[in-house]
Amino acid sequence: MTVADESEIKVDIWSDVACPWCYVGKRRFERATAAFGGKVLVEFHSFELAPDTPVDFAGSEVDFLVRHKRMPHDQVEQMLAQMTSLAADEGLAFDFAALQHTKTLKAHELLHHAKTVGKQVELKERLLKAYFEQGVHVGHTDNLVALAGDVGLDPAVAQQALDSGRYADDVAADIAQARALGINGVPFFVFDGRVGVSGAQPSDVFTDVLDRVARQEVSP
Amino acid sequence: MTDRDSEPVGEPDTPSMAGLVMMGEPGAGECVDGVCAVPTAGDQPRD
Repeated sequence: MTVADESEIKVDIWSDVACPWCYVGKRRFERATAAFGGKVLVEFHSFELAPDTPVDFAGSEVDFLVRHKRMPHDQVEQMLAQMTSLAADEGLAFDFAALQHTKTLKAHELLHHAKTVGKQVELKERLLKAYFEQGVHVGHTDNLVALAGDVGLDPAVAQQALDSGRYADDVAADIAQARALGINGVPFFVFDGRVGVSGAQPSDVFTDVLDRVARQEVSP
Repeated sequence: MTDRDSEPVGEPDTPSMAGLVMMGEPGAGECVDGVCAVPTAGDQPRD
């Protein structure tokens, strides 16, 4: 975790690209930061929800949940429909029929690369949009390089970063830190290293936390 | 009835986790182990 200056609140967010609640929670959190008005520094941290997923999973999101998580087909269909509706409430157009389920390790490596050049927040949004709304396979390096280019990253440098695997240890460190904090699910938000918020809470919860942290009301 | 803004935060009965004071409804809108539970109709979080 980097250190924020005294006038801003640092928020560390553990999330995965393949996490619908993370995208919904991101929108709610963004609305809260806009309402809060103060300076907020965001850093995203890696978390793989399903690290055993193959890069080239043959099947749909429904197939993944039915086959790998042993959930009843009807329940999965209902769950995804509800999630699509919840996302629509946040202005997001989830397309689970087009979604290409994949392992997100390389996407997380790219997010770490983007952080080194101040583009992590932009890339996070681009990856989530690509995955949930545009049916882009975010496990393939060529697609990731193209998405990196979309947010102004040098494609050649991004390609080299992914090919070398130089950020794999950073991804692992984020996940280890999550485990140390007791984080089992995402999204998970840590405000100034002292207040935790689990899940895509309503935006007024995030605003309340930001206000309280800014007023130094919360102490462990 | 209490004034929510005047309630102390970080008291012993406040949920905590690994040194963090936890705020918000526990487990709301969360993905765990690849599964993202959603509320059933009628109990979706208000925003």
